[in-house]
Amino acid sequence: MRHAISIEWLKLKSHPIYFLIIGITMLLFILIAVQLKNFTVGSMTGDEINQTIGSLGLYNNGVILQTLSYIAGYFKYIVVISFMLYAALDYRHKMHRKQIMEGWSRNASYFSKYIWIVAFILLQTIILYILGGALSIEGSKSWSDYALFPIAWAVEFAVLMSIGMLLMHLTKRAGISMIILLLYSIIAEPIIAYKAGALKTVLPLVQSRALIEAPFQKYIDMFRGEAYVFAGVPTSAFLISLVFTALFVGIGWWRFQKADL
Amino acid sequence: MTIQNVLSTSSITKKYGSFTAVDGMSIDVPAGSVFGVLGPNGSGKTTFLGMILGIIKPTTGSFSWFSGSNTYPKGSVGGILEEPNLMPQMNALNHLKMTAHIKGSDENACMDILKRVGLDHVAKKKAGAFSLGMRQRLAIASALIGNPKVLVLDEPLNGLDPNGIREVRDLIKQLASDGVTVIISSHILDEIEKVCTHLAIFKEGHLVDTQTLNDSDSGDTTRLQIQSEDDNLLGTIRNWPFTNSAEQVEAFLHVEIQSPASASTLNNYLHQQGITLSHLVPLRDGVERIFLEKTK
Repeated sequence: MRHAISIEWLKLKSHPIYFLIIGITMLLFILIAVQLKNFTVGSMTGDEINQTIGSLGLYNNGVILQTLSYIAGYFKYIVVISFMLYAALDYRHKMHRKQIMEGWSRNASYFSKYIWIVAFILLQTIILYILGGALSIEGSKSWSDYALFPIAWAVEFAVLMSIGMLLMHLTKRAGISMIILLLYSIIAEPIIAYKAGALKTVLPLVQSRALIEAPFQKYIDMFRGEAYVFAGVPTSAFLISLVFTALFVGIGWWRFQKADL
Repeated sequence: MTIQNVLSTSSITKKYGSFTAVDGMSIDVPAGSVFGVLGPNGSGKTTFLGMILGIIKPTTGSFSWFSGSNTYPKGSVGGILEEPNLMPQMNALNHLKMTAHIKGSDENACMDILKRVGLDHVAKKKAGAFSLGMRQRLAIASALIGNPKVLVLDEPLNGLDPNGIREVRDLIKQLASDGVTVIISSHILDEIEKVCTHLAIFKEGHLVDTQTLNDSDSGDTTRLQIQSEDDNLLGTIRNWPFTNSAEQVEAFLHVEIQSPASASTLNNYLHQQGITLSHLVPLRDGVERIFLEKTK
């Protein structure tokens, strides 16, 4: 593991651009998350209310974890594509071939690519908790109800990332795998989901998107003093998403074991 | 004495759909040999080397390194397949450090190896700025990390200028003298002839022949090329009881002598007969002739 990290660090140092993009994306997310407390309630309700959700005390609640996790989901495509481009370098420059010739196992060569992905997921999840805690430092309501949402974000990201990596391992090219990923996730799967009805449960991205419900209605309900129905992370979608992630990583691994590099 | 093989393949085959790239090859590579793999384009050389290096999966058959399994102990084999596999954005030193981590070798030895292949002055330069010859040398340096017991080199002379070719050839000879087994494919027959002790000739995915290029000595007989000003040379040679055959080939005489006679005993005999040789070299079958004959 120590050697794998050292090897990937040498590669990363030579290709900082992808990680710069990921870093900027994370920074952008943090800035947006912090600025969100200045969001006016009127813009959501259509009423002429110029008070911000921060000043109304709505942004110091456990809901913030759901909000941050939901918003973090908007940034996942940039990160996934950056990782795909980075991982594709190993195919482009035949690094897998070199590593295996030099005595690395196929397992080591395959899973070394996941080091930075796992590190990113851990870091972003921690950021979600820290940011949520920092922004709602004065409030303590409902925290336990919402504690799972950052984990749900991690799983939502993992599903898309695992599809992206699988496509990259199948095509061995960044460009074509990115196009397939975008076409599938933005066009094909929504159409299939619309037509499929009950079969939606077997669609990975539908399930992963169902993990974190859009929280904005809750703010309106809270502002109006109306009761709202708490919807946590749905267990079935959570489990199905985990299974899909394991499945995609597993198919990629199986293909990599069999492939001529 | 039994010669231990570093590599044995058993009916190893690779098919791509209906096309058979390598068909049932069984080859033994003796330890300490410089094993040349020759064949025209498309004969299966790279596919064969790719399979023994573990990056191309055989369809059927098997191979074993060091009488073990299909995989080799970390660091014991170094290899280059087709073009050098380098990251253009990574500098030369970091390439070697990466390999050192994979092989579990000492990172500090990287500079010495760069020096050995003449790239120490560009250690911090990105590989993308290297000429093909420099890339080739960097790839060889990478393969040398961890002092491998076997080096597999697929067309290592590609893109090298005459000086580069000589340097690589000298390096291979030096490695061989250090006991490293070298498996090398090249289409530069002259170079193969200069370094190889064994040959395998491929044609259309088949192994058509294996040869031992053990200088002029093939078991009980020794072949020599000699020349003298003395007109009695041919007659004197034919009268020597150890002579199997002698024939005039242009300005030289090609002689095959029988064990226990050797080049020095022949020279002594001729000296006793008052004949002084102006030329005496061991004769071996030219690789080019063998190659053309086997692949026609």
